[in-house]
Amino acid sequence: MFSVFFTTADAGIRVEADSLEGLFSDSAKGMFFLMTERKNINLELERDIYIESHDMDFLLFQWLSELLYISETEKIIFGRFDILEIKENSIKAKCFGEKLPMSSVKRLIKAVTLHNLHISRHNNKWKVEIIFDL
Amino acid sequence: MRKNLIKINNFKWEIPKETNSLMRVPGIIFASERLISETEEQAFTQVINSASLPGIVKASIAMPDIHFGYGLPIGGVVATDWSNGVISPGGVGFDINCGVRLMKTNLFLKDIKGKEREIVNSLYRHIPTGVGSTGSLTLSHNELKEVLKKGARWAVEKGYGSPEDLEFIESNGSIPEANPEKVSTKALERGRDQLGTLGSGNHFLEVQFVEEIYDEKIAKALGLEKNMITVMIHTGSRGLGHQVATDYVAILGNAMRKYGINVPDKQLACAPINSKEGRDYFEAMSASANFAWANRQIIMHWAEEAILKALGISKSSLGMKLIYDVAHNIAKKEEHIIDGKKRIVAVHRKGATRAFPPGHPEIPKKYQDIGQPVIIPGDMGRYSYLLTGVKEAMEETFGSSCHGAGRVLSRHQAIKRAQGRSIVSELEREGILVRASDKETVVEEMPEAYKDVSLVVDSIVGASISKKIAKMKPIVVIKG
Repeated sequence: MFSVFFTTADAGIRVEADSLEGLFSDSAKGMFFLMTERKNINLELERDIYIESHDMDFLLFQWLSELLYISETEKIIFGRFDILEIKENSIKAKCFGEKLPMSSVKRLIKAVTLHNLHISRHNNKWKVEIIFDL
Repeated sequence: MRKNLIKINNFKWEIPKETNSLMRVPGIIFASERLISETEEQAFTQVINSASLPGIVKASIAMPDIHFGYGLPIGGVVATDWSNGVISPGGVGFDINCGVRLMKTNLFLKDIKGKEREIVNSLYRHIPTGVGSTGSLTLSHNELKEVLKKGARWAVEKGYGSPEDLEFIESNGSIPEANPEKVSTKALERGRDQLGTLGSGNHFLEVQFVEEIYDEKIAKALGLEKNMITVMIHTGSRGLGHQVATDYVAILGNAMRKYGINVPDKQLACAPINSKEGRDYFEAMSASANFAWANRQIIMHWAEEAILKALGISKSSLGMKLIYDVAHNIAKKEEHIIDGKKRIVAVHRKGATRAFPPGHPEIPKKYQDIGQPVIIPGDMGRYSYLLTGVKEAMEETFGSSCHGAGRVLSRHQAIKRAQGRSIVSELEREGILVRASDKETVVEEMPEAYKDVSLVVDSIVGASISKKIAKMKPIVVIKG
């Protein structure tokens, strides 16, 4: 589950999930929603992603940054993320989406930021807030 | 945090070092009382966070256009000691060398009257704009590395503009420390078809006229007259710079543990300038800055071609000449006098412009008596300003000035405010023609989404950090 919010200069998403897999998957869904304002994305293409990092916050930052990179260079918008394995410092996932001309993207995200990005867990709920540079 | 502000004078405020135990230096903000009251609380927190960077010298500084960003606030200036300080990608921003260039022409308002639509359409056809815009240039990785090494000089060698332009670009459009080998393959991939593109968001190209001149002598030295047509370009290093920043935030974030550095915001991830990671970032950031200078050089050339075509006049009749090109997201190796001693520092300017005074060796010969031009874009419905650097800026802000208006409405608030209105028609009634690849961009970027830039300029002039020279009003705008 994610919700979009806007700061004066940029925009972000608040994400809440029952599991870490859900948190990473919903963060990616939120990012692509912010870009396209579309909830239904065709799942005709797939890409495998593996990321390693030194801690979980940076892992989320690098996971979203990798998706942005693939999106911009291959002109793909993703809509489903099957997290195959997730650890404190690595993630392995299969991502599904469709080709989309970048001209039909509503809002360009220049980059994922780490400002205030802190994954927390309370009462079995995982939460995070992510601000994007627009 | 606002409660910790101490008023030093009408345009200068201090956040004392004692406010937070992590602060190594005080925070200093140059702004009027009104701008201070309109600044978000989080922006002051970011000034405080930035004051914790190891090796920071004198103060964590913010300009009157300060607002909430990430890492440093937008409008932030931080200098760190070159020998024992750190360098931080969060002190530069993701759009490395986002910047502005201003050109003058031989034309006046009367010369283009009735031809505005031809101009806007021609510019829109010649210059790729919009989300994911790609240009007519697609380069191999090896060619792109040449661009990263040479910057604007590469563009001039390929026939875009003339060799004289290079003198009128900050750092002559090429930072010598740039090392393309420190730029990742991913960044090269993102940049290979984006050279010569404007991009989206707040990036623009405007044809303007000089509405008002405040300093006749300096304006004359710059070749500017009232009602003269000028052209302004605002863009940066596109996806290439975004990727370099992303790559190095992760690399430096990891390196911090090795160097025992702790910062209050992960976006301030940093490493000693003299470490491998720090040096690699500086060299990759410099290469991205060079890409941005080449980008603006190419766009300037295409803008000239587009206007020539629209008006059917000769190149000499148009007489387009570069006044200056400045970066406003960058870290530079500079020499400054601190407590009476010369020191080499890394000046991080994030949403801040270099503003060197008359006589500074790094500004063009032609401008030695007047100081470096400082270009301050406003919003597309009101005006932009041209300022010049003064010696007080060297003493107060490491030779830095403001960079623009700063948003006052979020994009979402702007969309709400514009419901049921046509911003393009409203601007047209004001005599401003806008073309954009997407209606929503125009709405998100509408004039009232921004602060009145004159408030920012009045603060920076009031604080004696720059001199006001001229005001330019837009006639034609192309947006991403």
